[in-house]
Amino acid sequence: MMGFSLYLIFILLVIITAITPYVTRKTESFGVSVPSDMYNYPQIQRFRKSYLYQSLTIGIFFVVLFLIIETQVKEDVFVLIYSAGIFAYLILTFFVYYKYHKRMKQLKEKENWKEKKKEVVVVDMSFYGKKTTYSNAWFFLPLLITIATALWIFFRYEQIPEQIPMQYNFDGEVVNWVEKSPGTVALFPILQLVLTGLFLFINLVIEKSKQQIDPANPEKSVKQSIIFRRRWSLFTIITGTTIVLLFAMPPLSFLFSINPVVFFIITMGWTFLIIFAALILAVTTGQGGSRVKTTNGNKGELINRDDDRFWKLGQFYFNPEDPAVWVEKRFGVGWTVNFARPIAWITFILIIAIPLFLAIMLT
Amino acid sequence: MIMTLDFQSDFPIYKQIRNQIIEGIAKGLLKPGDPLPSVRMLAQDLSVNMHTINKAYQLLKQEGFIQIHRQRGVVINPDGFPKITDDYLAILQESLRPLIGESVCRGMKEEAFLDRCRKLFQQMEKGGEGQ
Repeated sequence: MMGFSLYLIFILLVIITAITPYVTRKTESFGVSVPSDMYNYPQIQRFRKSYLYQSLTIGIFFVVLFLIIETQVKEDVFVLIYSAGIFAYLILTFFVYYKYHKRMKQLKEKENWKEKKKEVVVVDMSFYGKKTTYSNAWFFLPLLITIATALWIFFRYEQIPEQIPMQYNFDGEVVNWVEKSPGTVALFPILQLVLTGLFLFINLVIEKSKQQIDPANPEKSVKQSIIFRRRWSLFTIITGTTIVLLFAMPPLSFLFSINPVVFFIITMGWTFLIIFAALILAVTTGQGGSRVKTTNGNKGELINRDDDRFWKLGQFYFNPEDPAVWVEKRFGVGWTVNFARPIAWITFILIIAIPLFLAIMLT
Repeated sequence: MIMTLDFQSDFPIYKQIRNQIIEGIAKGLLKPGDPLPSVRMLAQDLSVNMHTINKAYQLLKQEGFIQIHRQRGVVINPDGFPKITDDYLAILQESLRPLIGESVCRGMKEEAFLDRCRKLFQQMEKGGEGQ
C-alpha cells in the first residue's frame, strides 16, 4: 500500500465526478438548459441520483481493479496503469453523463418548459466594476519566491553536487539522476515562472469571463456570481503560491539534506489537500455560486435564452457569433472556452506546448 | 443596473439597449459619470456581435446621453443630459401619434390613456430597480 496517496486522490476524483450534477447551476441539468425552478423536478432528481450511483460504482470497480493489479506488477508499471485508469474512468463516466444528457433533452422537449416562459438575457451593467477577483498583485509573491530560488541556485552553483536527483519512487529512493549543468538547475526557477504565469492567467480568466445571470432572480444571481469568482480567485492565488514554493524545495535539498520521504509526504499531502479543498469549495459554492445561500427573491417568469444548440454534447461550447472566449462550464464547476474562437485554441496549444518544450529541453 | 433583453422580440437589440440605458438614467440607477461596460465586454455578456453594441452606444452618444473616451471608456454623460428642444418635441409628437391612434381605434378613453402615462412617469421619476 505504498501508493496509498494515489488511492486517496483517485477516490476524491470519483467523489467530485459523482456529485457534479449537484453542484452545477440550477439552470442547467446534464448540459441542458432548464428553468431554475425545475431543478427539483422529480424526474431530474432521479437522473442526478442515478448518475451519482453509477459513477460511484464505476469508481469502486476501478479501486478494486487497482488493488488487484498493484500486487501483480512492478511499481513503475502500476503508476502507468493508474494514470491510464484515471483517463478510462473519466471517459466511462462521460458516457454515463451522455446517457442522462440525452434523456434530459427528451424530457425538455416533452415538458415544453420553454413555451410557458419568456426567454431573455440579463446583464448587470456594473458587473466588472465590482471586485470579482482578488488583485493580480498577489502574484508578486510567487514571483519573489521564483527570483529567490534563481538567486540561490546562482550563488550556490559551485556547491551543488555533480549528480542531481530528478525522480523518486514511493520509497523515497532516487530512480533518475541527471548531470549538473546550468540548464538542469535553471529548470526549477523556469518551472516556477511558468506556473506563476499560468496561475496569473487563471485569475485573469476568472475576472474577464462572461457574466451569466439567471433572469428568474437577477439580484441574487449577481451576488452568487461574485462570491463564486472571489472564492475561486482566492483558491487560485493560494494554491499557485504554495505550489511555486514546493518547487523551491528540490534546489534547497541539493545542499541541505531533506529526507526524500519527508519531501514526498509533503508533496503528496499537499496535492491531496488541494484537491480536497477544491471539492469542499465546489460543494459549498456550486457553479456560479448556485449553492450559496443569499436573500431569496421572487420566482420569475423569465428564463435564460436557450443556447443548447451551441453546446455540443452539452459540454463543448462552439458559438461563432459569441465574442466571448471564456465561459462558465455547463456541467461541473469552473470555466471552459468557446471553441469557435481561435484564441481558445492558441491558449490550449501554449498550455500543452510549454511543458512539452521544457521536458524536451531537459532530456 | 440590471438590463434585460428579449431576443424573441421584434424590437431590435440595439434599440432595446439604448432604451434601457435611458430608462436607467431616468430612474437614477445610472448617474452622470458612471462607467458602462466596454463594447467588447457587453458583446460577450450578451453573446452578440460587437457591431450591435457599437450601434447602441453610437446612438446614445449622438443623442448626448453617454460619452465615449479612448482611455476612460464609456461613461454616462457627466455634463448633464440634452434638454427639451423643438426637434425632440417633434419626435415625441410623431412617436405618440400611432400609439394614440391605435388606442382610439381600440376604443380606449383619453383618461385611461393619460392614466397609464402618469403611472409610467411616476415610476421613472421615483426610480429604483424593478417594474
